[in-house]
Amino acid sequence: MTGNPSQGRAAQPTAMLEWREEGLYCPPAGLYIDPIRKVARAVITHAHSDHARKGHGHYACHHDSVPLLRHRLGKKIRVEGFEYGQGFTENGVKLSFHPSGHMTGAAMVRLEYRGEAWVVTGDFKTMDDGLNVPWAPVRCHGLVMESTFALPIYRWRPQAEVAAEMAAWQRLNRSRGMLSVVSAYPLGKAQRLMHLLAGSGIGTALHPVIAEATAAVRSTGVGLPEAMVLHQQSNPEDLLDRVLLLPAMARDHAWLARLGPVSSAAASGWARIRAMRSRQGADAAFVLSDHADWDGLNLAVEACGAEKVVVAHGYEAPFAAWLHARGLECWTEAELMHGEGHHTNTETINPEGGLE
Amino acid sequence: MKAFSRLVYQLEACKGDDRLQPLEDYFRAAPPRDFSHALAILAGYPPHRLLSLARLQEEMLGTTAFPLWLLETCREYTGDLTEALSLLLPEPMVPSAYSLSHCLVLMESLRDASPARQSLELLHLWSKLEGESRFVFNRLLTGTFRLRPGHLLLARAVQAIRGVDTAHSMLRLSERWNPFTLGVEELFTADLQPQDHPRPFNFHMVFPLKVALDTLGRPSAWLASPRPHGERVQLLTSGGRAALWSETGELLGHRYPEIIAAATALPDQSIFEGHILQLCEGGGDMDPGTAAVPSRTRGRSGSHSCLLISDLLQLHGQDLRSEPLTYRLEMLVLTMQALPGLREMALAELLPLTSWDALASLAGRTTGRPRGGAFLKEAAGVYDQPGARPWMVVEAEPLRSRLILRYVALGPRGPGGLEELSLGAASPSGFVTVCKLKPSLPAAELHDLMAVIKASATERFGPVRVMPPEQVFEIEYQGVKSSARHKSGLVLLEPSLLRWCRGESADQADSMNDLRRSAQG
Repeated sequence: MTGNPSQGRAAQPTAMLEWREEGLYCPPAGLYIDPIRKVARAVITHAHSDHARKGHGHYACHHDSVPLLRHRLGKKIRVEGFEYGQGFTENGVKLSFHPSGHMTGAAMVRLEYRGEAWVVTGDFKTMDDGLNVPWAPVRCHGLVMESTFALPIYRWRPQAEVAAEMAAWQRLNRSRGMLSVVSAYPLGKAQRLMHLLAGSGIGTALHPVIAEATAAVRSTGVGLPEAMVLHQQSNPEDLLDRVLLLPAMARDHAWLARLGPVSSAAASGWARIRAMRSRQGADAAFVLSDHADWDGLNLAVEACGAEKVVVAHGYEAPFAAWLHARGLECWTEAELMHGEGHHTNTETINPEGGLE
Repeated sequence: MKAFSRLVYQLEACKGDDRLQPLEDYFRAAPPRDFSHALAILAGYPPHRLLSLARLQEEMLGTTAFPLWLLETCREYTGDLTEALSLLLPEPMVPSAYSLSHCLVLMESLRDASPARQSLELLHLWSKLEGESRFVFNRLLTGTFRLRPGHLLLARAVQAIRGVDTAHSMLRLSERWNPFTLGVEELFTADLQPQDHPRPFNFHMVFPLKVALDTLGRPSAWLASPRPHGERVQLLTSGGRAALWSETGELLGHRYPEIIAAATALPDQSIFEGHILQLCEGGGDMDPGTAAVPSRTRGRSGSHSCLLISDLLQLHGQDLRSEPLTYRLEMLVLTMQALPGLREMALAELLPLTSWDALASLAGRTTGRPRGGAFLKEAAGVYDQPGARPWMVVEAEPLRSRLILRYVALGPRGPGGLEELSLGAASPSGFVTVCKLKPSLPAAELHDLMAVIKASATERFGPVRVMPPEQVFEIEYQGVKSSARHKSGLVLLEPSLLRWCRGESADQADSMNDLRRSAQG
């Protein structure tokens, strides 16, 4: 019934986008979106390092991403920022930025050319985190979307419940005289945790790397709660009442052990799966993600009204097969990038086959 | 259900005694009915399954209308069908307040219900549970809940919460009970008849020998026996029943049913002390391949378990502990002589010493045993009485070998970390890995070793570096046993790293032949 997504389908989804080795390219506008190689003109969805790379000639992004890009890539980059809903026209291509809810300044990029509109989501989450401008659907003919958590086993709980769980964990640790340490990505996840924990009345103490990233986020005007900065001489007594936010790499540092007994936690969408939780090697794991869950991904596809979808990152093949079965024309980024001969998982999944 | 599923997650995430704290936390906070059910489940008496896994799959796919291939993909990533099935449903809008006992009562009430009613009720429950709780509940539902932290750990948690003596709890936990009819209050407060459930004596203290032998007086005042390498136990007989208690306070009868069965031949109201060994089929010689680790699985082919009895603490209800060891042994020998030959019972040899040299040779005797060592017991000594001298363990001299570094596993975090060294020995067909050790070297040497690894590693496989056969390490170990499962054909017992023999050439290292010779003593 579902069949192979590649059957009876055009080789390329649209003439206005090309999947090149450098990244996603818009030929009429002459610019790349989140390119992975150095290019002359780059449009950046958000400031995470796998999307915003060094060395491009010119950067265009959402207004709030500008200080974050400068923080990451240096003060000297040439960058231009735009408000949500705004953008520019280049050689007949109308380009605009729209909130994706992933992190501060994160945007979906809408491209319109000769009456055809495509939206490149970058990373997005449909859940309102109360900190950033929330995601809203953008109507389009074609969608290039992420599929990091595109399996029905990934469903997120309301973040207030996760916050309550974290607060209970912190209280238990405090009652035992243990420090509560959460490893978090310095840009994005760390600020979300600060905001979330403040809602439960819990302060944070930031690793210097996270404190720097936080200062950059603050400079965009986002209201973040006050936080203490960790240093080697920090008094463990002051830290018991807080949650320590550390980059994953710093979690095992010897000076942390000197502060006293520690209970560590991870906050990630992967924590949903038991096998992944144990791989994170933390004492506790909270399911908290800045990506859309299964329901969010499906909602995004439905709400934008697209008939063509290109799926990128994560479970792209199964999600493409799933959307194909629902009557959409689908491609995975891998097959567009590497050509028809490229073998993706699409071919190994037999939709008619049973369980072994 | 949420609290219980969190406990399950915590118990899975840690090992050993670290599991005690989560158990205590749970038992302290749980309502009595949940306490009782959780205890029964963890003690190994979960409810019988209501649904097969196939039926669960049918239900879940029926509700969600997901195609089978999508479920298969999910299973691939969770690595567990029950988990994948449980996570397929959307999360409830509000956190559930259903308790463990509520879910189990519902499950019981559906045993005789029609499949249609089962589906209806279960669907309602599933829609109210969070993914993780749904998963743990489905494990119970399909009879696939296998988490067993062990009775002793449960008994310790119960002791911490309710002050119940662990021996009492162990007896209670050793038999299945129905948590629907017997609450935790009744379970632990009801008296156990002492004649039906005798308790073991405290075990006599055993210390490693720390003083020089000649300070112990005349050798003839002491008895010595080769140290057996099984679990130390007391066997209690009472009214036709028998119980095996380990030194750690665990009831072991269910693991050694053949010993329990054979114990019916022993005199009633008696307590024996000994060690549990795994013996070869036939001659009764100890099998060096299995003697070190008493089998936890019953019916292992080619071997059977045997109690090597070394002391008699009570005979026909009469406490012998304040009698001298020689008297107790005399009574033991008489008792055993009156028995028919049993392959599950054997008498430990306890030899009078003529000289301290004889002790050293006894301790160093490794033939037929994975490792040496001897017990030294005062001939006139009493058992666990005030002023009694502890038994002493005389360690055998460890063996030493020089091995060659073959592989290095780098640590998962931090560039300076070394996780493990694989050491090998030369054989005619090339180098064979013999043991893997933590690199317990001084920091400065570790640093130098890291530099050597960086400079000379020939290949890499993920975190593993292949080293040319150049670096020699000296190790210490307690013995060698043969193993069909290891490429080298042998296992070193309790190996530890002694030092890095820097500058020594690989020719000076031991070969596989040298190691095999040391196995033969």
